[in-house]
Amino acid sequence: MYNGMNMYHTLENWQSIKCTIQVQQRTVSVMLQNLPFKDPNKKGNPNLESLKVKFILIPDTYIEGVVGQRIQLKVYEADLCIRFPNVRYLSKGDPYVTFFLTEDMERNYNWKIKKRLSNIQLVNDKFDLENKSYCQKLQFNKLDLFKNQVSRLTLFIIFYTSVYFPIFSTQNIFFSNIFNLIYHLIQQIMQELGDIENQPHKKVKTNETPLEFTVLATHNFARASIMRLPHGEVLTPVYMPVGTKGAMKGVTYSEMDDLGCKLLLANTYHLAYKPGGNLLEKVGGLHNFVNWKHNILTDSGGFQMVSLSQLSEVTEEGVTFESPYDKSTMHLRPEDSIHTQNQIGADIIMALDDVVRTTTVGPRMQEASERTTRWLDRDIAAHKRKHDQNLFPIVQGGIDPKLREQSLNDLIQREANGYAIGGLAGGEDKVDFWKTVAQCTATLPVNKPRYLMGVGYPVDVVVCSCLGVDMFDCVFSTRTARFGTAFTDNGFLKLKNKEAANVFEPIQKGCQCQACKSYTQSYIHYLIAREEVACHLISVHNLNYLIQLMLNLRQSIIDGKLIEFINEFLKKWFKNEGQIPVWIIEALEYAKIPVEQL
Amino acid sequence: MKKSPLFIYSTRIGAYYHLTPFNQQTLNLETALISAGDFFHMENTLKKLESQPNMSFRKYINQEKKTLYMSSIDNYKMKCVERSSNYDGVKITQLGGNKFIKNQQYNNLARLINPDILVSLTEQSEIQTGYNSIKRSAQKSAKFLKESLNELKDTQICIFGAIQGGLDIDQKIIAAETQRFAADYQNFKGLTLYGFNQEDSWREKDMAISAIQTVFHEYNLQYVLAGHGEILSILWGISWGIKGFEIEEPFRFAQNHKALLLPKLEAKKTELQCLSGDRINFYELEGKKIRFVNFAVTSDSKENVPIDPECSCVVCRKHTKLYISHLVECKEMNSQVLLTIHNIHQYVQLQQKLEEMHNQQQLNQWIRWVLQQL
Repeated sequence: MYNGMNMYHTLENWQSIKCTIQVQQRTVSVMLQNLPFKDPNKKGNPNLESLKVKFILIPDTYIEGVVGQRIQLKVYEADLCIRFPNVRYLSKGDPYVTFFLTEDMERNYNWKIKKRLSNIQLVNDKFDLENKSYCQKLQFNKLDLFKNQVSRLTLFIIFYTSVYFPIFSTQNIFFSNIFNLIYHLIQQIMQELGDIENQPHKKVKTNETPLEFTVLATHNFARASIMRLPHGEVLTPVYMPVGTKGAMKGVTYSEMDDLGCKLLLANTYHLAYKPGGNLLEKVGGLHNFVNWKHNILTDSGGFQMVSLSQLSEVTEEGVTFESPYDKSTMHLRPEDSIHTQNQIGADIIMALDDVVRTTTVGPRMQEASERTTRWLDRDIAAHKRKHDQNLFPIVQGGIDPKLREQSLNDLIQREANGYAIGGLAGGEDKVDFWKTVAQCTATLPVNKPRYLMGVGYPVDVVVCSCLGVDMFDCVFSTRTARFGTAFTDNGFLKLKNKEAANVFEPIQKGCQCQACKSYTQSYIHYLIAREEVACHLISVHNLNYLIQLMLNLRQSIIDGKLIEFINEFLKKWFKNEGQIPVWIIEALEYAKIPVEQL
Repeated sequence: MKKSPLFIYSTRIGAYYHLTPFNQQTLNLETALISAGDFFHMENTLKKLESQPNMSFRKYINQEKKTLYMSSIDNYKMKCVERSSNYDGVKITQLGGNKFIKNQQYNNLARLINPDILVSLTEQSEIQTGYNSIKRSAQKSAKFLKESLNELKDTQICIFGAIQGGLDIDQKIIAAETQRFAADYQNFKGLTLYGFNQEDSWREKDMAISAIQTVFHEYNLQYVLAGHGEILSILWGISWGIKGFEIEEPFRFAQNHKALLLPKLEAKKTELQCLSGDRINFYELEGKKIRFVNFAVTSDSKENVPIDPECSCVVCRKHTKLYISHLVECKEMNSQVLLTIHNIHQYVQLQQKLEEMHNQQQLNQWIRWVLQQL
């Protein structure tokens, strides 16, 4: 990999500026030192002696499309914001360099620039610049970096600062030279990267971690983050659709891709039966089998202990199932579950845990919690693909705070790339539910993703995101769709009800899913009774609803508007009921999100 | 008809089976068969729809810019239309069961739906019934046709008569003769031919179509072949000058976990030149079968290869027989979705090829060439 090139560039009438370029994976850091720059007004702002810009190249997630498509790269970890008080857009054809920087930058220098950054509106994933910011755009021509998918790559850099600069003009050699310097350096980097970046997918190389988790913004416990996995980036908080047997019921993988889904679930128990771990390994894993290019998470099969409990028996060795398919017996030990998950090849795999009903009390719950930890050690020992599969342990303990604490401590000691919170959403009281989630998120490491298993009601997902959960999964969205129920901002909409017969509006106004763009509630109401495609459409809508809900919640964290977002959501969701349940208000209060009662 | 041949794909309440708008994208379907029985219970809603701004019926069912073909008979349903002693209508299978529908109601529904083509309401006489009963059913169908032609003459709807009678020549002639008057109407454009079932012999079909065409030989009419739309029936019908075909086969095949395998469609010019351009003879079709993969049964359906390596459909490009076989075994509905996409793609390819050969005036030669592969 290209690493640590030092360059010295002498500028006319300026001191020599030391420039260091470092490239690590797709992160490029440019450090310019010995900048001869001082604040002429001396208003107490630090001198700018060095400028460090870090930007990340994201070849597959963001760069895709046809020749000539404009690309934007976002910077997440730049150290500095510099903003010029006057805008100067160079004429067309001149080299430009432009980046988008985020609020993270202000933390490093404690500068009072948040106010200025808030002048920038995030509009449909693009920054809408105000006139007071300066930007330069760098355009590389004919750069065949990513398998000939782009022939023109545009980098954006915006420099912001609270330091006052003189009016920018073409006579200001300093800035034009800075940018020219960066331009040439980046060109060299791109050329070298072009030789190196030959792999079509983001397969992480051996001895590198298969998961990187970067928190971009927070609001108390809530976080907006990026999780980089072997098959691409996932923006969190995220809802993961469930395709138990290698298929989402009625929704093709192409449609899932079209919805913007980057991570979905499959179930080890069911896949072990059909088509079987050996077959999946033979064809190169589940990704190849179903032709899904993004990420997959597999559950260990533990939940089936509960869902199929009449057909299962648990011992220290493992779980014995009687198949609901053919009555055959299957013995699932931790080693077996991990082995099958290694064969399936998912990006995230789950430790086999001893799952009991949430409402179980007494010694069985303690036994299950402690056994889960012992099985975790066996899971870890059996895991043969640590280089490209992330094993998440699952916190158990029911709603007993002491058992939870014990489980948390045990699991954290064993250091994983992420953690799951299991054993909830099983009929427990909502107060116990949120308090248990809060206990877990307060204890789990902040720099690792947290996955709350089996939770997918919109309200639960929103509340638990505020409590610090990053990942969710649930079959409810597609299952309820098959019964004609759709998710809307105003709660559940039962399309089978006769009231829908003459509503000539889409399920949700403004929704961009194919169901809402193509059909009205009335039509789907009539179609439900006659043709399965109605259920497919509602499934697509519900999945899109949850995916967008998470993206919007995430963005509100980045924008510093989470409180407004939550209140708006709850106001609409509970409008018909007339009041917000107390447990939600208490949970959000704990998360320092004041909620106005209706 | 705008295209030749015209493949008219079955729908349920205007939606193609198993196909969401996203999955339809690559198929470019241009037609939809609207089954009247799907909409009678929605009349109130359709009337309210008329007063909605920017919401036509076509937009309501998401079939804008498509050719809509409305018929009372729907091959997906068993016994869709039953005879009735009431001279003003028939019984049609609907959501709530078989209900009596007057021809007036049928025409009113046609006004609401405003299809491009309307097949007039028809009654089929019972099997092995007497001559009087046959004649009565034929006269009733003719009456319905006349009423539709008169009542809908102020619309842009093209009316097609419905010729029943199975493959019985006498019945066919009776049906045709009683509707010959319609040729004088400007909005009368052709006939939909019923009763040409897959199991019948090609020779009998030849004779039946010949009888009908004899009755109308002086008129420039278009013919639509009703039924499942099997590929061999299409090839046979094209050779007889039939321009339109109701298509249900690809959906039915997918429902039964079968994937169609078309023979090669690209023929060299030299291969066609040595073949006759005469109409296909019935014996050229006998014993011919279209290949398919039966995922529920066939052992070779578990291969890790596409259904057809030379097929350019989305399913063959992205998925394998092994995966589809897994979906079938797990009873996942996505198997039917994927198979529908593949099967429809075969029909779209066939239609494009037939159109091309029609333009090159080499249809019969090409059909012969295809039949030789089967």
